[in-house]
Amino acid sequence: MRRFRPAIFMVIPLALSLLAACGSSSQAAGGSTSACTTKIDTSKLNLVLPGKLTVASDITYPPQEYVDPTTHSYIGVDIDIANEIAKRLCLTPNIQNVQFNTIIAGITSSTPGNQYYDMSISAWTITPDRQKQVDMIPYFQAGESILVPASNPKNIKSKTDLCGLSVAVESGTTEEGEIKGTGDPTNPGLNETGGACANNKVKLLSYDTEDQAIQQLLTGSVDAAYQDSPVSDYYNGKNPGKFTTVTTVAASPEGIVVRNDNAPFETAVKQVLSDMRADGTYAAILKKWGQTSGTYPPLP
Amino acid sequence: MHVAGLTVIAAAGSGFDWGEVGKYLFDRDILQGALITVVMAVLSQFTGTLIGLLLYLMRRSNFLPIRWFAELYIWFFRGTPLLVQLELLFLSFSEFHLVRPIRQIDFFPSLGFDRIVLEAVLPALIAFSLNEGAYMAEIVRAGIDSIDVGQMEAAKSLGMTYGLAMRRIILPQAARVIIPPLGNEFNNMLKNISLASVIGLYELLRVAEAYGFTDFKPVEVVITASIWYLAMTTVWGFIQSYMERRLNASNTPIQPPSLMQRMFSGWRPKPVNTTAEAIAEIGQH
Repeated sequence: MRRFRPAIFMVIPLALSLLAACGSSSQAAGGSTSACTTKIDTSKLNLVLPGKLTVASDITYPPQEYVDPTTHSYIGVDIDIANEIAKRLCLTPNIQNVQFNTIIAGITSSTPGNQYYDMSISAWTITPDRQKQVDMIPYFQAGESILVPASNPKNIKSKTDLCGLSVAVESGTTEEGEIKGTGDPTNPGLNETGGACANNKVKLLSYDTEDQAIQQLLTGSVDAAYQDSPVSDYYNGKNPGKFTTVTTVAASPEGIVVRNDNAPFETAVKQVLSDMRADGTYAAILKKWGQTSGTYPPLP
Repeated sequence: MHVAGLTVIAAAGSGFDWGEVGKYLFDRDILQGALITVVMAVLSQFTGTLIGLLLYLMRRSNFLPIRWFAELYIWFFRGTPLLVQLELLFLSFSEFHLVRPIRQIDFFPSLGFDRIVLEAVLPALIAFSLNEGAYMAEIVRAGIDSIDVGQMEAAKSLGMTYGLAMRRIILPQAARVIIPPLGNEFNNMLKNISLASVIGLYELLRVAEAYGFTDFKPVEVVITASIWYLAMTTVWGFIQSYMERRLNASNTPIQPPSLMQRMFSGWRPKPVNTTAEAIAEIGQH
Protein backbone atom coordinates (compact mmCIF):
# COMPACT_ATOMS: atom_id res chain seq x y z
CA MET A 1 0.00 0.00 0.00
CA ARG A 2 2.62 2.51 1.05
CA ARG A 3 4.21 2.39 -2.34
CA PHE A 4 1.08 3.82 -3.90
CA ARG A 5 0.76 6.93 -1.85
CA PRO A 6 3.30 9.01 -3.77
CA ALA A 7 1.64 8.06 -7.04
CA ILE A 8 -1.83 9.02 -5.87
CA PHE A 9 -0.73 12.23 -4.21
CA MET A 10 1.07 13.43 -7.31
CA VAL A 11 -2.32 14.76 -8.29
CA ILE A 12 -2.26 17.30 -5.47
CA PRO A 13 0.90 19.17 -6.53
CA LEU A 14 -0.49 19.14 -10.06
CA ALA A 15 -3.70 20.78 -8.90
CA LEU A 16 -1.77 23.22 -6.74
CA SER A 17 0.48 24.24 -9.60
CA LEU A 18 -2.61 24.95 -11.67
CA LEU A 19 -3.96 27.14 -8.87
CA ALA A 20 -0.62 28.88 -8.46
CA ALA A 21 -0.58 29.69 -12.15
CA CYS A 22 -4.06 31.07 -11.70
CA GLY A 23 -2.86 33.57 -9.11
CA SER A 24 0.11 34.80 -11.09
CA SER A 25 -1.61 35.36 -14.41
CA SER A 26 -4.22 37.92 -13.46
CA GLN A 27 -1.98 40.90 -14.15
CA ALA A 28 -1.12 39.56 -17.60
CA ALA A 29 -4.68 40.23 -18.77
CA GLY A 30 -5.64 43.64 -20.08
CA GLY A 31 -5.79 45.63 -23.24
CA SER A 32 -2.73 46.06 -25.40
CA THR A 33 -4.28 48.45 -27.88
CA SER A 34 -3.70 51.99 -26.70
CA ALA A 35 -3.62 53.84 -30.01
CA CYS A 36 -7.13 52.69 -30.93
CA THR A 37 -9.95 55.22 -30.93
CA THR A 38 -13.67 54.67 -31.38
CA LYS A 39 -16.67 56.92 -31.04
CA ILE A 40 -18.55 54.12 -29.26
CA ASP A 41 -18.27 53.90 -25.48
CA THR A 42 -17.48 50.19 -25.02
CA SER A 43 -17.99 50.38 -21.26
CA LYS A 44 -21.74 50.65 -21.91
CA LEU A 45 -21.98 47.56 -24.12
CA ASN A 46 -22.45 45.02 -21.27
CA LEU A 47 -19.56 42.94 -22.57
CA VAL A 48 -19.00 39.60 -20.87
CA LEU A 49 -15.33 40.48 -20.55
CA PRO A 50 -14.16 44.10 -20.59
CA GLY A 51 -11.88 44.91 -23.50
CA LYS A 52 -12.78 41.75 -25.38
CA LEU A 53 -15.37 40.82 -27.97
CA THR A 54 -16.36 37.28 -27.07
CA VAL A 55 -17.73 35.55 -30.16
CA ALA A 56 -19.14 32.02 -30.40
CA SER A 57 -18.72 30.16 -33.65
CA ASP A 58 -18.84 26.50 -34.63
CA ILE A 59 -15.51 26.35 -36.46
CA THR A 60 -16.47 23.40 -38.67
CA TYR A 61 -18.13 25.16 -41.56
CA PRO A 62 -15.83 26.15 -44.43
CA PRO A 63 -15.67 28.60 -46.08
CA GLN A 64 -17.37 30.68 -43.40
CA GLU A 65 -15.46 29.40 -40.35
CA TYR A 66 -12.79 26.70 -40.13
CA VAL A 67 -9.31 25.96 -38.81
CA ASP A 68 -6.14 26.68 -40.74
CA PRO A 69 -4.09 23.51 -40.14
CA THR A 70 -0.68 25.15 -40.47
CA THR A 71 -1.19 28.25 -38.32
CA HIS A 72 -3.82 26.61 -36.05
CA SER A 73 -5.86 29.80 -36.30
CA TYR A 74 -9.54 30.19 -37.07
CA ILE A 75 -10.19 31.55 -40.56
CA GLY A 76 -13.07 32.24 -42.95
CA VAL A 77 -15.46 34.99 -44.04
CA ASP A 78 -17.25 35.15 -40.69
CA ILE A 79 -14.02 35.18 -38.72
CA ASP A 80 -12.69 38.10 -40.78
CA ILE A 81 -15.93 40.02 -40.21
CA ALA A 82 -15.87 39.31 -36.46
CA ASN A 83 -12.24 40.40 -36.21
CA GLU A 84 -13.01 43.58 -38.13
CA ILE A 85 -15.95 44.39 -35.81
CA ALA A 86 -13.71 43.88 -32.78
CA LYS A 87 -10.98 46.03 -34.30
CA ARG A 88 -13.36 48.90 -34.95
CA LEU A 89 -14.70 48.74 -31.39
CA CYS A 90 -11.11 48.75 -30.03
CA LEU A 91 -11.67 45.30 -28.54
CA THR A 92 -9.56 42.15 -28.62
CA PRO A 93 -11.39 39.43 -30.53
CA ASN A 94 -11.97 36.34 -28.40
CA ILE A 95 -13.43 33.68 -30.67
CA GLN A 96 -14.75 30.55 -28.97
CA ASN A 97 -15.17 27.33 -30.91
CA VAL A 98 -18.49 25.97 -29.64
CA GLN A 99 -20.81 23.28 -30.93
CA PHE A 100 -23.62 24.91 -32.95
CA ASN A 101 -26.50 23.59 -30.83
CA THR A 102 -25.14 25.13 -27.60
CA ILE A 103 -24.56 28.65 -28.96
CA ILE A 104 -28.00 30.29 -28.59
CA ALA A 105 -28.32 29.04 -25.00
CA GLY A 106 -24.87 30.50 -24.31
CA ILE A 107 -26.03 33.90 -25.60
CA THR A 108 -29.54 34.11 -24.11
CA SER A 109 -28.83 32.67 -20.67
CA SER A 110 -28.74 34.87 -17.56
CA THR A 111 -28.68 38.69 -17.77
CA PRO A 112 -26.73 40.97 -20.16
CA GLY A 113 -23.02 40.71 -19.41
CA ASN A 114 -23.33 37.44 -17.48
CA GLN A 115 -23.94 35.10 -20.39
CA TYR A 116 -21.19 33.15 -22.17
CA TYR A 117 -20.84 35.05 -25.45
CA ASP A 118 -21.45 38.61 -26.59
CA MET A 119 -22.52 37.48 -30.03
CA SER A 120 -22.29 34.65 -32.50
CA ILE A 121 -21.27 34.67 -36.12
CA SER A 122 -21.69 31.16 -37.44
CA ALA A 123 -23.67 31.18 -40.71
CA TRP A 124 -26.98 31.68 -38.87
CA THR A 125 -29.83 31.84 -41.37
CA ILE A 126 -32.38 34.39 -40.19
CA THR A 127 -35.61 32.58 -39.31
CA PRO A 128 -38.69 33.78 -37.39
CA ASP A 129 -38.20 30.99 -34.83
CA ARG A 130 -34.70 32.15 -34.02
CA GLN A 131 -35.79 35.79 -33.96
CA LYS A 132 -38.19 34.97 -31.13
CA GLN A 133 -35.19 34.23 -28.93
CA VAL A 134 -32.46 36.52 -30.24
CA ASP A 135 -31.91 39.49 -32.51
CA MET A 136 -30.20 38.79 -35.81
CA ILE A 137 -28.24 41.47 -37.67
CA PRO A 138 -28.05 40.60 -41.40
CA TYR A 139 -24.48 40.63 -42.76
CA PHE A 140 -24.36 37.93 -45.45
CA GLN A 141 -26.69 35.96 -47.66
CA ALA A 142 -26.70 32.36 -48.63
CA GLY A 143 -29.13 30.06 -50.32
CA GLU A 144 -29.53 26.37 -49.95
CA SER A 145 -28.59 23.68 -52.38
CA ILE A 146 -28.55 19.92 -52.62
CA LEU A 147 -25.32 18.15 -53.46
CA VAL A 148 -25.73 14.97 -55.48
CA PRO A 149 -23.23 12.69 -57.26
CA ALA A 150 -22.00 14.26 -60.53
CA SER A 151 -24.21 12.13 -62.78
CA ASN A 152 -27.28 12.88 -60.60
CA PRO A 153 -28.44 9.23 -60.77
CA LYS A 154 -31.72 9.88 -58.90
CA ASN A 155 -32.50 12.82 -61.19
CA ILE A 156 -33.05 15.31 -58.37
CA LYS A 157 -34.25 18.68 -59.66
CA SER A 158 -36.04 20.12 -56.64
CA LYS A 159 -36.58 19.58 -52.94
CA THR A 160 -39.64 17.37 -53.44
CA ASP A 161 -37.57 14.93 -55.51
CA LEU A 162 -35.97 13.92 -52.21
CA CYS A 163 -39.08 11.95 -51.13
CA GLY A 164 -38.16 8.34 -50.36
CA LEU A 165 -34.43 8.99 -50.77
CA SER A 166 -31.78 9.08 -48.04
CA VAL A 167 -30.45 12.56 -47.34
CA ALA A 168 -27.58 13.67 -45.06
CA VAL A 169 -27.75 16.98 -43.17
CA GLU A 170 -25.93 18.61 -40.27
CA SER A 171 -28.09 18.46 -37.16
CA GLY A 172 -29.66 21.72 -36.02
CA THR A 173 -29.47 23.34 -39.46
CA THR A 174 -32.34 24.99 -41.37
CA GLU A 175 -32.12 22.20 -43.93
CA GLU A 176 -32.79 19.57 -41.28
CA GLY A 177 -35.84 21.59 -40.18
CA GLU A 178 -37.14 21.83 -43.74
CA ILE A 179 -37.26 18.05 -43.96
CA LYS A 180 -38.12 17.09 -40.39
CA GLY A 181 -40.36 20.08 -39.70
CA THR A 182 -40.17 22.64 -36.91
CA GLY A 183 -43.67 22.17 -35.53
CA ASP A 184 -45.03 25.16 -37.46
CA PRO A 185 -48.41 24.00 -38.95
CA THR A 186 -48.43 26.79 -41.57
CA ASN A 187 -45.09 25.66 -42.93
CA PRO A 188 -44.84 21.88 -42.53
CA GLY A 189 -41.58 20.06 -43.15
CA LEU A 190 -41.38 17.58 -46.03
CA ASN A 191 -41.89 14.62 -43.69
CA GLU A 192 -44.65 16.18 -41.59
CA THR A 193 -48.38 15.75 -42.08
CA GLY A 194 -49.29 18.05 -44.94
CA GLY A 195 -45.71 18.06 -46.23
CA ALA A 196 -44.77 16.93 -49.73
CA CYS A 197 -43.16 13.69 -48.57
CA ALA A 198 -45.64 12.78 -45.80
CA ASN A 199 -46.56 9.51 -47.54
CA ASN A 200 -43.09 8.67 -48.85
CA LYS A 201 -40.80 10.07 -46.21
CA VAL A 202 -37.27 11.28 -46.75
CA LYS A 203 -34.80 9.01 -44.92
CA LEU A 204 -33.16 11.81 -42.98
CA LEU A 205 -29.67 11.24 -41.55
CA SER A 206 -28.45 13.99 -39.24
CA TYR A 207 -24.77 14.37 -38.43
CA ASP A 208 -22.96 16.45 -35.84
CA THR A 209 -20.73 18.01 -38.42
CA GLU A 210 -21.10 19.01 -42.04
CA ASP A 211 -18.14 17.00 -43.25
CA GLN A 212 -19.65 13.85 -41.80
CA ALA A 213 -22.72 14.55 -43.92
CA ILE A 214 -20.64 15.14 -47.06
CA GLN A 215 -18.61 12.02 -46.32
CA GLN A 216 -21.81 9.94 -46.45
CA LEU A 217 -22.46 11.29 -49.92
CA LEU A 218 -18.89 10.59 -51.08
CA THR A 219 -19.09 6.98 -49.92
CA GLY A 220 -22.48 6.52 -51.57
CA SER A 221 -24.24 5.90 -48.22
CA VAL A 222 -26.81 8.59 -49.00
CA ASP A 223 -28.40 9.87 -52.20
CA ALA A 224 -27.92 13.55 -51.43
CA ALA A 225 -26.57 16.05 -48.90
CA TYR A 226 -28.53 19.19 -48.16
CA GLN A 227 -26.87 22.36 -46.88
CA ASP A 228 -26.31 26.08 -47.43
CA SER A 229 -25.10 27.05 -50.89
CA PRO A 230 -21.67 28.46 -49.83
CA VAL A 231 -20.94 25.11 -48.24
CA SER A 232 -22.12 23.16 -51.27
CA ASP A 233 -19.94 25.39 -53.45
CA TYR A 234 -16.99 24.90 -51.14
CA TYR A 235 -17.17 21.09 -51.08
CA ASN A 236 -17.90 21.00 -54.79
CA GLY A 237 -14.69 22.96 -55.35
CA LYS A 238 -12.74 20.63 -53.04
CA ASN A 239 -13.87 17.54 -54.98
CA PRO A 240 -13.87 18.63 -58.61
CA GLY A 241 -16.03 16.52 -60.89
CA LYS A 242 -17.60 14.46 -58.09
CA PHE A 243 -20.72 16.48 -57.34
CA THR A 244 -23.50 18.47 -58.97
CA THR A 245 -25.36 21.19 -57.08
CA VAL A 246 -29.13 21.61 -57.25
CA THR A 247 -30.32 24.99 -55.98
CA THR A 248 -33.49 24.73 -53.92
CA VAL A 249 -33.73 28.03 -52.14
CA ALA A 250 -32.60 31.36 -53.47
CA ALA A 251 -30.17 33.25 -51.26
CA SER A 252 -31.61 34.43 -47.94
CA PRO A 253 -29.94 36.60 -45.32
CA GLU A 254 -27.73 35.29 -42.54
CA GLY A 255 -27.40 37.23 -39.30
CA ILE A 256 -25.04 37.95 -36.46
CA VAL A 257 -26.78 36.65 -33.33
CA VAL A 258 -27.01 39.05 -30.38
CA ARG A 259 -29.15 39.20 -27.25
CA ASN A 260 -32.50 40.94 -27.66
CA ASP A 261 -32.16 42.77 -24.33
CA ASN A 262 -28.80 44.46 -24.88
CA ALA A 263 -29.61 47.44 -27.11
CA PRO A 264 -26.28 49.34 -26.71
CA PHE A 265 -24.32 46.35 -27.98
CA GLU A 266 -26.69 45.68 -30.87
CA THR A 267 -26.60 49.33 -31.97
CA ALA A 268 -22.79 49.35 -31.85
CA VAL A 269 -22.49 46.23 -34.04
CA LYS A 270 -24.99 47.64 -36.55
CA GLN A 271 -23.06 50.93 -36.65
CA VAL A 272 -19.74 49.18 -37.25
CA LEU A 273 -21.22 46.97 -39.98
CA SER A 274 -22.61 49.97 -41.84
CA ASP A 275 -19.22 51.72 -41.54
CA MET A 276 -17.56 48.61 -42.99
CA ARG A 277 -19.97 48.62 -45.93
CA ALA A 278 -19.45 52.34 -46.53
CA ASP A 279 -15.64 52.22 -46.72
CA GLY A 280 -15.39 49.01 -48.79
CA THR A 281 -13.85 46.77 -46.11
CA TYR A 282 -16.91 44.53 -46.19
CA ALA A 283 -16.74 44.04 -49.96
CA ALA A 284 -13.01 43.33 -49.73
CA ILE A 285 -13.53 40.56 -47.15
CA LEU A 286 -16.18 38.81 -49.27
CA LYS A 287 -14.01 39.12 -52.37
CA LYS A 288 -11.03 37.59 -50.56
CA TRP A 289 -13.08 34.42 -49.86
CA GLY A 290 -14.74 34.20 -53.30
CA GLN A 291 -18.16 34.89 -51.79
CA THR A 292 -19.14 38.09 -53.59
CA SER A 293 -22.52 36.51 -54.32
CA GLY A 294 -23.08 36.51 -50.56
CA THR A 295 -23.09 40.32 -50.33
CA TYR A 296 -25.96 41.65 -48.21
CA PRO A 297 -27.97 43.71 -49.05
CA PRO A 298 -27.81 41.94 -52.45
CA LEU A 299 -25.83 43.58 -55.22
CA PRO A 300 -28.02 45.15 -57.94
CA MET B 1 -16.43 1.07 -35.44
CA HIS B 2 -13.80 3.08 -37.23
CA VAL B 3 -11.98 -0.02 -38.39
CA ALA B 4 -15.20 -1.37 -39.89
CA GLY B 5 -15.93 2.01 -41.47
CA LEU B 6 -12.43 2.08 -42.87
CA THR B 7 -12.98 -1.10 -44.84
CA VAL B 8 -16.24 0.19 -46.26
CA ILE B 9 -14.64 3.44 -47.34
CA ALA B 10 -11.62 1.71 -48.85
CA ALA B 11 -14.03 -0.52 -50.80
CA ALA B 12 -16.06 2.49 -51.92
CA GLY B 13 -12.83 3.86 -53.34
CA SER B 14 -13.33 7.37 -52.08
CA GLY B 15 -9.62 7.68 -51.44
CA PHE B 16 -8.99 6.89 -47.80
CA ASP B 17 -5.71 8.55 -47.00
CA TRP B 18 -3.42 7.06 -44.33
CA GLY B 19 -1.12 10.03 -44.79
CA GLU B 20 -3.87 12.23 -43.47
CA VAL B 21 -4.10 10.07 -40.32
CA GLY B 22 -0.43 10.70 -39.65
CA LYS B 23 -0.56 14.36 -40.67
CA TYR B 24 -2.18 15.51 -37.43
CA LEU B 25 -0.92 12.73 -35.14
CA PHE B 26 1.60 15.04 -33.48
CA ASP B 27 -0.14 18.28 -34.30
CA ARG B 28 0.13 20.92 -31.59
CA ASP B 29 -3.62 21.21 -31.00
CA ILE B 30 -4.16 17.42 -31.07
CA LEU B 31 -1.43 16.93 -28.46
CA GLN B 32 -2.89 19.75 -26.40
CA GLY B 33 -6.32 18.09 -26.71
CA ALA B 34 -4.91 14.74 -25.57
CA LEU B 35 -3.13 16.38 -22.64
CA ILE B 36 -6.22 18.23 -21.44
CA THR B 37 -8.16 14.95 -21.72
CA VAL B 38 -5.71 13.14 -19.42
CA VAL B 39 -5.51 16.02 -16.93
CA MET B 40 -9.30 16.37 -16.80
CA ALA B 41 -9.76 12.61 -16.37
CA VAL B 42 -7.19 12.36 -13.56
CA LEU B 43 -8.59 15.35 -11.65
CA SER B 44 -12.22 14.23 -12.09
CA GLN B 45 -11.44 10.67 -11.04
CA PHE B 46 -9.53 11.88 -8.01
CA THR B 47 -12.27 14.19 -6.73
CA GLY B 48 -14.93 11.71 -7.82
CA THR B 49 -13.31 8.99 -5.70
CA LEU B 50 -13.16 11.30 -2.67
CA ILE B 51 -16.84 12.21 -3.18
CA GLY B 52 -17.63 8.49 -3.46
CA LEU B 53 -15.90 7.73 -0.17
CA LEU B 54 -17.69 10.64 1.49
CA LEU B 55 -21.04 9.45 0.15
CA TYR B 56 -20.36 5.96 1.49
CA LEU B 57 -19.71 7.37 4.95
CA MET B 58 -22.83 9.57 4.71
CA ARG B 59 -24.88 6.52 3.81
CA ARG B 60 -23.65 4.81 6.96
CA SER B 61 -24.45 7.88 9.10
CA ASN B 62 -26.76 7.62 12.10
CA PHE B 63 -28.36 10.95 11.20
CA LEU B 64 -31.29 10.30 8.89
CA PRO B 65 -31.20 13.52 6.72
CA ILE B 66 -27.55 12.85 5.84
CA ARG B 67 -28.46 9.35 4.70
CA TRP B 68 -31.32 10.81 2.67
CA PHE B 69 -29.05 13.34 1.05
CA ALA B 70 -26.55 10.66 0.01
CA GLU B 71 -29.29 8.42 -1.38
CA LEU B 72 -30.88 11.33 -3.24
CA TYR B 73 -27.54 12.39 -4.67
CA ILE B 74 -26.71 8.92 -5.95
CA TRP B 75 -30.25 8.50 -7.27
CA PHE B 76 -29.99 11.72 -9.28
CA PHE B 77 -26.47 11.37 -10.68
CA ARG B 78 -26.86 7.72 -11.62
CA GLY B 79 -30.31 8.35 -13.00
CA THR B 80 -29.63 11.17 -15.48
CA PRO B 81 -27.29 11.11 -18.49
CA LEU B 82 -23.83 12.56 -18.04
CA LEU B 83 -24.35 14.80 -21.07
CA VAL B 84 -27.49 16.27 -19.49
CA GLN B 85 -25.64 16.97 -16.24
CA LEU B 86 -22.88 18.61 -18.24
CA GLU B 87 -25.23 20.99 -20.04
CA LEU B 88 -27.15 21.67 -16.83
CA LEU B 89 -23.96 22.77 -15.07
CA PHE B 90 -22.79 24.75 -18.07
CA LEU B 91 -26.00 26.79 -18.14
CA SER B 92 -26.16 27.12 -14.34
CA PHE B 93 -22.79 28.85 -14.43
CA SER B 94 -24.20 31.73 -16.45
CA GLU B 95 -27.53 31.77 -14.60
CA PHE B 96 -25.64 32.27 -11.33
CA HIS B 97 -23.51 35.03 -12.91
CA LEU B 98 -20.29 33.03 -12.65
CA VAL B 99 -19.05 33.32 -16.25
CA ARG B 100 -17.57 36.80 -15.95
CA PRO B 101 -15.61 36.14 -12.71
CA ILE B 102 -14.35 32.84 -14.13
CA ARG B 103 -13.18 34.52 -17.32
CA GLN B 104 -11.27 37.08 -15.30
CA ILE B 105 -9.20 34.43 -13.51
CA ASP B 106 -8.72 32.22 -16.58
CA PHE B 107 -5.08 31.14 -16.36
CA PHE B 108 -4.93 28.79 -19.34
CA PRO B 109 -3.68 31.37 -21.87
CA SER B 110 -0.71 32.16 -19.60
CA LEU B 111 0.12 28.44 -19.53
CA GLY B 112 0.25 28.42 -23.33
CA PHE B 113 -3.13 26.71 -23.79
CA ASP B 114 -4.71 29.43 -25.90
CA ARG B 115 -7.76 27.34 -26.88
CA ILE B 116 -8.62 25.96 -23.45
CA VAL B 117 -11.03 28.14 -21.50
CA LEU B 118 -11.71 27.88 -17.79
CA GLU B 119 -15.40 28.56 -18.39
CA ALA B 120 -15.60 25.16 -20.14
CA VAL B 121 -13.07 23.34 -17.95
CA LEU B 122 -14.77 24.17 -14.67
CA PRO B 123 -18.34 23.01 -15.43
CA ALA B 124 -16.89 19.90 -17.05
CA LEU B 125 -14.64 19.14 -14.10
CA ILE B 126 -17.50 19.58 -11.64
CA ALA B 127 -19.98 17.57 -13.71
CA PHE B 128 -17.55 14.68 -14.22
CA SER B 129 -16.55 14.67 -10.52
CA LEU B 130 -20.13 14.77 -9.23
CA ASN B 131 -21.21 12.06 -11.64
CA GLU B 132 -18.21 9.90 -10.85
CA GLY B 133 -18.85 10.35 -7.12
CA ALA B 134 -22.21 8.60 -7.43
CA TYR B 135 -20.68 5.62 -9.20
CA MET B 136 -17.67 5.50 -6.88
CA ALA B 137 -20.03 5.48 -3.88
CA GLU B 138 -21.45 2.19 -5.12
CA ILE B 139 -17.98 0.78 -5.81
CA VAL B 140 -16.65 1.87 -2.43
CA ARG B 141 -19.72 0.36 -0.78
CA ALA B 142 -19.12 -2.96 -2.50
CA GLY B 143 -15.45 -2.87 -1.49
CA ILE B 144 -15.94 -1.96 2.16
CA ASP B 145 -18.95 -4.19 2.69
CA SER B 146 -16.95 -7.13 1.36
CA ILE B 147 -14.67 -6.91 4.39
CA ASP B 148 -15.83 -9.12 7.23
CA VAL B 149 -17.38 -7.14 10.13
CA GLY B 150 -15.07 -9.10 12.40
CA GLN B 151 -12.18 -7.00 11.09
CA MET B 152 -13.72 -3.80 12.44
CA GLU B 153 -14.68 -5.49 15.70
CA ALA B 154 -11.17 -6.82 16.15
CA ALA B 155 -9.65 -3.42 15.39
CA LYS B 156 -11.94 -1.73 17.91
CA SER B 157 -11.16 -4.33 20.54
CA LEU B 158 -7.49 -3.43 20.08
CA GLY B 159 -8.42 0.12 21.00
CA MET B 160 -8.50 1.65 17.52
CA THR B 161 -10.97 4.44 16.81
CA TYR B 162 -13.42 4.08 13.89
CA GLY B 163 -11.33 6.39 11.70
CA LEU B 164 -8.05 4.68 12.46
CA ALA B 165 -9.56 1.21 11.89
CA MET B 166 -10.96 2.44 8.56
CA ARG B 167 -7.61 3.81 7.42
CA ARG B 168 -5.36 1.04 8.67
CA ILE B 169 -7.52 -2.08 8.53
CA ILE B 170 -10.63 -1.76 6.36
CA LEU B 171 -9.65 0.52 3.45
CA PRO B 172 -6.37 -1.26 2.60
CA GLN B 173 -8.28 -4.54 2.32
CA ALA B 174 -11.21 -2.93 0.50
CA ALA B 175 -8.77 -1.40 -2.00
CA ARG B 176 -8.18 -4.87 -3.45
CA VAL B 177 -11.84 -5.11 -4.34
CA ILE B 178 -12.15 -1.46 -5.36
CA ILE B 179 -9.14 -1.18 -7.70
CA PRO B 180 -10.45 -3.32 -10.62
CA PRO B 181 -13.79 -1.44 -10.99
CA LEU B 182 -11.99 1.85 -10.28
CA GLY B 183 -9.70 1.10 -13.21
CA ASN B 184 -12.76 0.48 -15.31
CA GLU B 185 -14.22 3.80 -14.22
CA PHE B 186 -11.05 5.67 -15.11
CA ASN B 187 -10.93 4.02 -18.51
CA ASN B 188 -14.49 5.25 -19.08
CA MET B 189 -13.57 8.67 -17.75
CA LEU B 190 -10.77 9.07 -20.30
CA LYS B 191 -13.26 8.51 -23.10
CA ASN B 192 -16.17 10.41 -21.52
CA ILE B 193 -14.14 13.64 -21.40
CA SER B 194 -14.96 13.88 -25.12
CA LEU B 195 -18.56 14.72 -24.13
CA ALA B 196 -17.32 18.10 -22.91
CA SER B 197 -16.75 19.06 -26.56
CA VAL B 198 -20.42 20.18 -26.62
CA ILE B 199 -19.78 22.91 -24.04
CA GLY B 200 -16.74 24.20 -25.88
CA LEU B 201 -13.90 22.29 -24.23
CA TYR B 202 -11.20 22.10 -26.89
CA GLU B 203 -10.31 18.48 -26.17
CA LEU B 204 -9.13 15.74 -28.50
CA LEU B 205 -12.42 15.06 -30.32
CA ARG B 206 -13.27 18.74 -30.84
CA VAL B 207 -9.82 19.41 -32.34
CA ALA B 208 -10.15 16.37 -34.60
CA GLU B 209 -13.58 17.51 -35.79
CA ALA B 210 -12.24 20.95 -36.63
CA TYR B 211 -9.36 19.55 -38.70
CA GLY B 212 -11.66 17.03 -40.34
CA PHE B 213 -13.69 19.89 -41.77
CA THR B 214 -10.73 21.88 -42.89
CA ASP B 215 -9.26 19.12 -45.01
CA PHE B 216 -12.49 17.33 -45.82
CA LYS B 217 -10.99 14.17 -44.36
CA PRO B 218 -13.20 13.58 -41.30
CA VAL B 219 -12.71 9.83 -41.03
CA GLU B 220 -8.94 10.09 -41.16
CA VAL B 221 -8.70 12.75 -38.47
CA VAL B 222 -11.17 10.98 -36.19
CA ILE B 223 -8.96 7.90 -36.54
CA THR B 224 -6.05 10.09 -35.46
CA ALA B 225 -8.05 10.91 -32.33
CA SER B 226 -8.90 7.22 -31.84
CA ILE B 227 -5.20 6.36 -31.91
CA TRP B 228 -4.63 8.77 -29.06
CA TYR B 229 -7.60 7.45 -27.09
CA LEU B 230 -6.28 3.91 -27.56
CA ALA B 231 -2.79 4.99 -26.48
CA MET B 232 -4.20 6.56 -23.32
CA THR B 233 -6.40 3.60 -22.37
CA THR B 234 -3.61 1.11 -23.17
CA VAL B 235 -1.13 2.88 -20.92
CA TRP B 236 -3.79 2.95 -18.23
CA GLY B 237 -4.35 -0.80 -18.75
CA PHE B 238 -0.70 -1.47 -17.88
CA ILE B 239 -0.82 0.84 -14.85
CA GLN B 240 -3.98 -0.84 -13.59
CA SER B 241 -2.54 -4.31 -14.07
CA TYR B 242 0.57 -3.29 -12.12
CA MET B 243 -1.52 -1.82 -9.30
CA GLU B 244 -3.64 -4.94 -9.01
CA ARG B 245 -0.56 -7.13 -8.77
CA ARG B 246 1.04 -4.95 -6.12
CA LEU B 247 -2.11 -4.89 -3.99
CA ASN B 248 -2.50 -8.62 -4.21
CA ALA B 249 1.11 -9.34 -3.28
CA SER B 250 0.64 -8.51 0.37
CA ASN B 251 -2.40 -10.73 0.78
CA THR B 252 -2.02 -13.94 -1.09
CA PRO B 253 0.77 -16.02 -2.54
CA ILE B 254 -1.25 -16.49 -5.72
CA GLN B 255 -0.28 -13.88 -8.30
CA PRO B 256 -2.75 -13.01 -11.03
CA PRO B 257 -1.14 -12.96 -14.47
CA SER B 258 0.10 -9.60 -15.71
CA LEU B 259 -1.32 -7.99 -18.83
CA MET B 260 1.66 -9.21 -20.87
CA GLN B 261 1.26 -12.75 -19.54
CA ARG B 262 -2.45 -12.75 -20.24
CA MET B 263 -1.78 -11.73 -23.80
CA PHE B 264 1.29 -13.79 -24.65
CA SER B 265 1.38 -16.95 -22.51
CA GLY B 266 -0.70 -19.43 -24.47
CA TRP B 267 -4.45 -19.56 -24.85
CA ARG B 268 -5.28 -20.00 -21.18
CA PRO B 269 -3.87 -17.56 -18.65
CA LYS B 270 -1.63 -19.29 -16.15
CA PRO B 271 -1.08 -18.04 -12.60
CA VAL B 272 2.56 -17.23 -11.94
CA ASN B 273 2.57 -19.18 -8.70
CA THR B 274 0.23 -22.10 -8.22
CA THR B 275 -1.08 -22.71 -4.72
CA ALA B 276 0.88 -25.94 -4.55
CA GLU B 277 4.10 -24.08 -5.41
CA ALA B 278 3.36 -21.41 -2.85
CA ILE B 279 2.73 -23.98 -0.12
CA ALA B 280 5.91 -25.78 -1.06
CA GLU B 281 7.76 -22.46 -0.87
CA ILE B 282 6.38 -21.69 2.58
CA GLY B 283 7.35 -25.19 3.69
CA GLN B 284 10.99 -24.49 2.79
CA HIS B 285 11.30 -21.55 5.13
